[in-house]
Amino acid sequence: MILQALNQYYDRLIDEGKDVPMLGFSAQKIHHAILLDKNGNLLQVQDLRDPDKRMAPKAMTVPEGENRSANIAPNFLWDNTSYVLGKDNKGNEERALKMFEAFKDRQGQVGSEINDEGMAAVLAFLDNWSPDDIEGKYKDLFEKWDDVAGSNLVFRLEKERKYVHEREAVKRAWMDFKAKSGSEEVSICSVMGTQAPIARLHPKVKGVPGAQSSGASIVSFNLESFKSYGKDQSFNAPVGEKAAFAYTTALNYLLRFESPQKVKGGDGVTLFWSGRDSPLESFMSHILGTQEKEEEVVDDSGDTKDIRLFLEAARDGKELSKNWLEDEKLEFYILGLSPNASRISIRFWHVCAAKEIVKRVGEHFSDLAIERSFDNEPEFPGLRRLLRETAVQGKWDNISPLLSGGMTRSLVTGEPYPHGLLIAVLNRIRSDQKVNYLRAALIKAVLCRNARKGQRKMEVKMALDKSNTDIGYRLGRLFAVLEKAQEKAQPGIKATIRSRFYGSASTTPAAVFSRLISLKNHHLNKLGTKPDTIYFEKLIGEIMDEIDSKISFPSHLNLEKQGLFALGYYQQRQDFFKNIKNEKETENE
Amino acid sequence: MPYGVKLKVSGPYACFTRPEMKVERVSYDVMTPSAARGILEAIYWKPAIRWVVDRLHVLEPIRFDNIRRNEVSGKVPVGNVKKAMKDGVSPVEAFIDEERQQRAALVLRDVAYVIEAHFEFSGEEDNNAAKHKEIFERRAKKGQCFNQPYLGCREFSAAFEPVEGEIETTKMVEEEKDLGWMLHDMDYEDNMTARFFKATMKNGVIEIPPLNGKEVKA
Repeated sequence: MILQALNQYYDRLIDEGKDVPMLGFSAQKIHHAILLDKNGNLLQVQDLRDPDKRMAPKAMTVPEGENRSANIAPNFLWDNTSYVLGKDNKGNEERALKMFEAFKDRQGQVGSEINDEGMAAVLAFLDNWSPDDIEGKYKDLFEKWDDVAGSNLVFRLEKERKYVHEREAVKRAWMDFKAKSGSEEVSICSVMGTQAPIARLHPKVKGVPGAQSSGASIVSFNLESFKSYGKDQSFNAPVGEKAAFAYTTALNYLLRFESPQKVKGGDGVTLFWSGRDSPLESFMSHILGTQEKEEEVVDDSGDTKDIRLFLEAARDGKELSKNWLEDEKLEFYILGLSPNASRISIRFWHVCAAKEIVKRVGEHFSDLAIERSFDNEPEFPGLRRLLRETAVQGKWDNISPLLSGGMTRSLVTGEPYPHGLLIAVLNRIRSDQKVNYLRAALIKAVLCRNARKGQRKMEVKMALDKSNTDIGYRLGRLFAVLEKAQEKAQPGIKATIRSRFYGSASTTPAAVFSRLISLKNHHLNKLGTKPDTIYFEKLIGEIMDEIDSKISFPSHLNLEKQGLFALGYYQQRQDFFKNIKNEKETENE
Repeated sequence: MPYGVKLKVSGPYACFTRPEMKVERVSYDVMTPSAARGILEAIYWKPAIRWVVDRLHVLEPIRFDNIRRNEVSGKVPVGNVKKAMKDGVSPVEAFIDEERQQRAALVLRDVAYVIEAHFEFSGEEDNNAAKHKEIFERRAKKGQCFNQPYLGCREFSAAFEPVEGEIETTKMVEEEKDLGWMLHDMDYEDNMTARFFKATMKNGVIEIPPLNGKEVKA
């Protein structure tokens, strides 16, 4: 299913005319071009890198590279300097010479028959070339040798815009060569369902963060224990060469640099695409993704405005405007990959109608909706940003990969959030005693969604809810009030009761609250002014009203109630700030 | 089919591995006919009979989960074993603490299926159909088996029980689902080629074509 869907995506890319290589070609990063004249004399070494983007190499479509690990396997009309020039910065001169000879042979093998100027020039150049020429004959052309060594090179004829490998006759010769040297084993391809030569090794997939930089494979049988029935390598899993090329190219396209269809998260990367071109594809990256620059979503210009409208409509259940969802049956695919050395494992795979995704996204954000503490906080936080709140020390690297995979799945399928999420957030709160907007949002989301799935009622509103009688919620509110009293009595204090008592208050209230109440009395005495004292006492009375005097403070709170404690605390504090803001405004008027 | 049987199997985990993603295992959405046959053979099999799976009912919604496990990367080479057999002294050993590999797997959670199958005779001997059917039903009812039936991988044991009367309706929501090309079974007589068929699920039921039929491609 997965490989089939990728195959279909490749076909769609070809149909839409996107910059995707055809069978026999692949996209590679090229740094320099060797400029030759018609007789094969070296004229110049051109730098193709982009100076505006930190000298990033140019991505070009070149004849498909050989799948090599430690063996010598030259490419056609492009390669690194060890193959093309016989010299590199790795120190092994003999081996580099061997690589050069192999390269020369390969060009002859494929291109000696064709009648093309470019090919002829390349062959002539290689015949007359020796690695010593870098320091000898062509010394001034290779002044910046250190820069060039080890990089990828292509060839170009003087006064031409095209590269030699792009010339028609050369391309045709290459495709013929490829067709002839295809695999001999013919069997049913498990992706297409037709007879086809089976690929022995699948092309590599590059761009999965954490995998080998030379690329990794999904279908790979590189160790003994993976083989079955005595079959070798990819014959263990019959996939035709064309299908193998199509799905790996589609993956490489999705994983390309700055692709809007990939999101790095946890220990891997999540890719998504739809059956046909749709704006949903680019929206998902914001929903699932980074948003490391928090201002991004608040800024209402251009793209972000569309996304914001879309998310608001989804969350509030409004009708989406026509141009987003023309086709009810448009399918949406999400694939999560994670690296394991030279192999890629599939962490997550989901297919559904685009309409359903919209519904799920809406549910997700409506579960998360809670009053913000600062205006610049995102109303629609990306998934990764949310998960950072569960990471030790707030470091991106410490996000648990299981949690991020689980949350992506819950977002997309509507399942309850992973159980570990509530535990992780509460742990973080206990260790640094901070209940901020995102953590409160996460807790609310978990509790609301779990209640909905269990068909219980869980009314946690966006802002302070004075009528909520749950003991955890009330105790959280009480704690916030007690802390406020202390802050008013001792202005400027840094270590409030929160830093000392939050952990025990939220888990074992009975042990702690009586102490806190007596402390409160001291604070209120210090305050002195009658209106303040009355205000606090009234508020506390209101909250404690519901705590039955017989049961009094419970000896411990379970996980769910600890979550409600945090929410009560957060919302009560928000309420205080709102009041202060209102007061300030009335003062200024 | 007069000698058809119905068996309900279920378990907390299942992994019906796709052949192309056998290393980092990815499961098919539903049980393969090959796995179903394996369960039936675990309960009752004799050389005289050959199980043929007719239909699969999927009872629970399809749910996936990720797990990572530390496994062994190498096999004991056949040459070592042969050498040891000859001279009786050479060691046959594998040091698994030096050969560790971590493998991730995408498995199914909380599965339940009803397998509808019948058996055919593989030879001339012992062609007493009623006898084999009775033995199977008795064993299924008692919970007897030669080895514990499993859902795709041996570590995911299956609980089985006979089905009396009507097969329960599925809890799945979608009415029709195209599952693509699914592994039907391995053809042991023909160089272990894998055979595939196009699977579609209607209301939770998958019709399995016969192995030698024209819908099944090698």
